[in-house]
Amino acid sequence: MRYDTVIVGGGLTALMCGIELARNGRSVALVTTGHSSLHFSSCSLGLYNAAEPLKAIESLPQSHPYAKLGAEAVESYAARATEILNIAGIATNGTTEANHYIVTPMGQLRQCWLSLDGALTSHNGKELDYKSVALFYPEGFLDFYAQFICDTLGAMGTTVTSHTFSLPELVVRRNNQTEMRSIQVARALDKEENLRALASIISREAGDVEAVVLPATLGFDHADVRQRLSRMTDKEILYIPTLLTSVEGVKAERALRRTFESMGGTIFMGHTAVSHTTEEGLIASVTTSKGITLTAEEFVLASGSFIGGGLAADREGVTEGVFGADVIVSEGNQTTRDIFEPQPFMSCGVATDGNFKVLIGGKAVENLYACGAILSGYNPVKEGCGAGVAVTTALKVADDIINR
Amino acid sequence: MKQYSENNFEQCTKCTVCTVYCPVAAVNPLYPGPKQAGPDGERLRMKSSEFYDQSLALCLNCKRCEVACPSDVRIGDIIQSARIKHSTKKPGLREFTLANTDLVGSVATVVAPVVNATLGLKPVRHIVEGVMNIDHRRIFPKYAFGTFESWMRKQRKEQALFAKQVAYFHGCYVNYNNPPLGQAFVKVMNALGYGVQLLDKEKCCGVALISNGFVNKAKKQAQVNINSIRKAAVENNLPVVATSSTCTFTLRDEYHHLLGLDNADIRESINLATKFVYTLLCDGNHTLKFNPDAARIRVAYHSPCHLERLGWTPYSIELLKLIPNVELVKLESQCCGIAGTYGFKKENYATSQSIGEPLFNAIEASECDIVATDCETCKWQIEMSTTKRVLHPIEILAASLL
Repeated sequence: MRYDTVIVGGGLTALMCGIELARNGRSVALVTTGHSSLHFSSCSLGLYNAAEPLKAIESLPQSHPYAKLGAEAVESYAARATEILNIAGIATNGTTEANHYIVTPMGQLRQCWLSLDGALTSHNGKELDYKSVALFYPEGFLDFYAQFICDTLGAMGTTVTSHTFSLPELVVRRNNQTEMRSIQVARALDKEENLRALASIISREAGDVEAVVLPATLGFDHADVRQRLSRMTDKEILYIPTLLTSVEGVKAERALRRTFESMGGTIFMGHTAVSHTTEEGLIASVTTSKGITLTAEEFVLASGSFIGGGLAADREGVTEGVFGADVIVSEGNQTTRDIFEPQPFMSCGVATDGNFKVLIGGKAVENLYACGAILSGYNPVKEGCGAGVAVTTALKVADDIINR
Repeated sequence: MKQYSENNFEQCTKCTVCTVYCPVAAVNPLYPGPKQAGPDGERLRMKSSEFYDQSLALCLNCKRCEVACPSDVRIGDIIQSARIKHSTKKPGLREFTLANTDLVGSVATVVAPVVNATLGLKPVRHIVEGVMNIDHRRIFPKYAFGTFESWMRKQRKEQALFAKQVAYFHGCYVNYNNPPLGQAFVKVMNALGYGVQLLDKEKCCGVALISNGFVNKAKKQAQVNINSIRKAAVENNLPVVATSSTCTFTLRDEYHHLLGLDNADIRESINLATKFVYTLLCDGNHTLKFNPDAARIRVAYHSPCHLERLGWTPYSIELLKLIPNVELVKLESQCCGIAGTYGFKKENYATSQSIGEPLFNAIEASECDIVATDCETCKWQIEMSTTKRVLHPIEILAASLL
């Protein structure tokens, strides 16, 4: 099958790039093994962990993706990414001027550039905008650390009360204790009778607080569950992200995929890109695990790092399997003993030129680009810049393809 | 990546993405979902059959877990293999009747008007529910008066005149219920310069036998099909084409993965009609003449689960886009809930209809004239549960030709 551009990947990076290309009239196909790591994301996007992220970007080493873009381009692509999220119906808060903070399910504060509308945030990491909140979460809910959260909010000067709730449907779900996760709770709360039952529990127990906080389980198929609960209880409702699978992440991927498809994009779902062909030094086609060959003018490698399957490591080294791109691995040990310390292997990635054209055998391939987590030269966890690099490099590559 | 177990369960990273996309776990809180029923449970079942959980019978075998999985684990195969290996539940009269589509079909087509009229009666459907545990609200597909095979035998000479030939795996549904779909396929192939012939011997692909617990019979029928396809594909060098996405999927993947049969030499020869036709139309040597006066129709395309697992949905969509009088709406991919014979069973009826509800609503909201899909059981479910008529993309294509 033939397209203008084929993108290997199906996550935030691939979708951003795909949407930008599709809305500029190009035919685009995404090739993706399964669903993406957005399923494990709070959907609060980090640009760079620093008081003034754009300033900090200016002094990064030349190998860093942001240094290749330049601070000015990072700012303008970040703004465009926000616009695309909006088109997809994903409402966000935040600016590139200064980071704000979200509260994690472990009760930690984490810097971010954009947070989803409705997330419990702090503008300065020192205090919340609410002096009193009530925290509600389902009995038996997995991986949600209410006491840590209460301690953190309390230390910021907010009074917190903690409440558990149960609903008949959730009692049945608890028969499978290991599956008592956010998606199941969100699906239960999609139902009017369950939402009403929760509203009456909140109304009875919350008392006179400024806001009610829940884990991010407010609706899966219905977009307005938070607002409806707010109307039913006459209280502001906020949420804290959950561990996997993240309802907000699943909803975001779904919204972006719908947007991409509505613009004429095609998703080869359940296909792993396995090989390629070249003609006169250019990439001519990619073949998938299901035996389908896709030809195109340009190819984009947005397949993620190790977890996304873009990179694979064994005792011999680190490889990129579809195109055999050059991979940059830093010298020495790839791990450090303290797991909370930055891990060198996280900076591994494919080698690209200044415009993210992929190097194969030391030479840039004119119609093969890389963007997002597969890029080398940065540490997404330590720097808090995984999402920022994903969306800005995706849009830069899309721009270059459109102007090619 | 290297596989250590039969169905690569060790590659599961416990990410739980599969459970998000399981249509059963979404509506039935008793089902633990594919991660627990599949790779998690498999670790225990390897130690002892005692860990087999009856809730695995709730799995639809839609394979949406496998499509969703970022690590390519064959979750659905793990669950179905566990049922085959460990389930002690014996199939009864109901399972026999639902699974033996060949036997029931060949009797019913002879007396089709009587069967159709009788199964259409409400009191009869209540008796069927009482005796067989088949839900009385379920509407049976109508039987054709005379089979597709008997029609094809009359076409043999005419079809043999074409220099290029394909072998058609029509499936039970075209043979006993909907010969016009087979006839539409013949019309399209003829227009592309291909004659159509039947396989030497075609049996039901066996998908219903597998899901209803008749594994040995499924294996026997599968071997007949494999031999016939081998003769057509390997000896006579013919492409083998099917219109049903589920038959195609079963012949290509389930024969090996669930029944343990060797079909490696013929797998790549088994093709789906929409993919085969679209590929011909793109090769530069084939064109179709469309009727310029054909009425404009708005078509909503529903992608069946097993077509999603084949990964070939884009072919059906691109083919429909090539038809000048079609305005296409792609429905968000989701299970319709029937899953072959699953939705016929009384205990599954409510689950089946709740699974399909979002799709039914999307279809009504799409303001389409017709729904298109490559699967016959999706067609029954959608026609029973919405106000729309459902056609196969090949039927829509055939109707638009000059």
